[in-house]
Amino acid sequence: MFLDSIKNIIFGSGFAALTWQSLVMLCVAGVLIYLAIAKKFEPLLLLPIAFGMLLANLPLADLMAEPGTGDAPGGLLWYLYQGVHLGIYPSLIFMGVGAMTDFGPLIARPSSLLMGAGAQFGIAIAFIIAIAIGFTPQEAGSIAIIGGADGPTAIYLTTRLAPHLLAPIAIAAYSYMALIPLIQPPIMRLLTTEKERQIKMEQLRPVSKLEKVCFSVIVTVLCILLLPSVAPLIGMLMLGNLFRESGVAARLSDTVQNALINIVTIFLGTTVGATAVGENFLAPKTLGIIALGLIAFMFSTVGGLIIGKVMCVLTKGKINPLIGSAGVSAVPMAARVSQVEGQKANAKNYLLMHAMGPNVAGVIGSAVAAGTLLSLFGS
Amino acid sequence: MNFGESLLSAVFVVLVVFSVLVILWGLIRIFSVLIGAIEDRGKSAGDGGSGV
Repeated sequence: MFLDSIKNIIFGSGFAALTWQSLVMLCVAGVLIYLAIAKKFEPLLLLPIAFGMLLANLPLADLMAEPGTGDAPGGLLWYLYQGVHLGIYPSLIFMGVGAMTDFGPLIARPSSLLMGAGAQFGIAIAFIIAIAIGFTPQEAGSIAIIGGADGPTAIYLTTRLAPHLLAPIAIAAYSYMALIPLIQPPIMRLLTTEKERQIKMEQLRPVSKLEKVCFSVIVTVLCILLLPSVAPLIGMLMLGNLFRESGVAARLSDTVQNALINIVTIFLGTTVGATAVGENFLAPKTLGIIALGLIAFMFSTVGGLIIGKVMCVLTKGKINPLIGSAGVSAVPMAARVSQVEGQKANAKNYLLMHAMGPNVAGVIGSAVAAGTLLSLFGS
Repeated sequence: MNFGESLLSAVFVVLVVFSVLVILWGLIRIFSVLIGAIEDRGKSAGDGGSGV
C-alpha cells in the first residue's frame, strides 16, 4: 500500500514525463541564461526568453496550456502569450523605442534613409535562399525579416505569417543582434578602405522641435497610407516619438520608455521563450533558420555599406561609408559599432551621431519591409 | 513558389522599401525648408518688434 503510493507519486511527477527533447531544451535554456548573465548578451531579453523556455519544457506544468472545456483554466503563460499572438507586445515595444529615439540626425541628413533602405538587402537574399531550400513563402518571409535586425518587427511578422516558427526566429534575431559587435566589423573592414574609414564627417545641423514633431506625423501618414499593414508598428513608434518631442507629455514619455517597455519586455520575452517546446524546436528547420538569419544579417550589413560607399563617392568623400552598416536597425548597437570602427581608423573620428541617422532609418525600413511581406503573403 | 517568383518577390520588397524611404526623404526636405522659412520669418518679425 505504502509502496504503491510512493510509486504513484514518482510516476505521476514531472520526472517520469521527461523526454530527451525536454532535457535538451532545459540545457539550451541553461546555456542562454549563462550567456545572458555571464556574457551579458542582450540580457534584458535573453533572460526572460531563456526562463520562459525553461518553464515550458518542464513536463506537466502546462503553463502554455490552452483553456479547455470545464474546469481547466489554461496556463498562465498562455494568457500572457495572447499579447504576442495578437501583435500587441511588439507594437507597445515600438512605442517605447519611439519614445527613446532621437530622429534628429535623420532629419538633419535625410539621405541617411537610403542607407537604412540598403541595409534591408539581406531580407531579399535570405528570402530567395529560404524558398530555394524548401520553406513556404510565409516561412521564408518570417525568416528573412531577421535581416532587418529588429526584434519586435521580426516577432510581429512571424506571428502573422508563420507562428509555428516564432521561437527559433525570435531567438535567432535577438542572438544576432547581441552578436553585432562580432558579425559586422570584419565585413566593414573587408568592404571599406583605410582611407574611407578615416573620413571625418561635418557636424550635423541643429534640428528644431517643430521639425521633429512634423516628422512623426509625416512618417505616420505616409507609411500607413502606403502600407496599411504596417500601421500598428509605425503608428506606435511615432506616437512614442511624439510623446518625447512634443515636450508636453513628459510623464507619458517617461512611462512608455521605462515602465511600460520593461513590463512588456518581460511578458514578450517569457512567452516567446515558452513557445520553444522541445518537440517543435528541435527540428532540422531550426538549424536552417539560424543559418539563414546569419546570412540575412551579413547581407544587410553589406547592403548598407555599399550604399554608404556610393554616397561617399557621390558626396566626394564627405560621408564615411562605415555609417552604412548602422542601417540594420539594432538601435543603438549598430551605430556604436560604426563609431568604434571609425575611431580605430582615426582616433579623432566621431561617427556615433552620424550613424544614428541610418540606424533609425533602418527601424522604419525594416517595418516597411515587414509590411510589404505581410501584404504579399498574409492571409 | 519557384526561383523566378521568389526573385521577383524579393526585388519587389526592396523596391517598395527604397520607394517609401525616398519619398520620405523628399517630404523631410520639403518640410525642413518650409519650417526653416517659417521660423526665419518669425525670428525676423520678433527682431523687428524688439527694435521699436
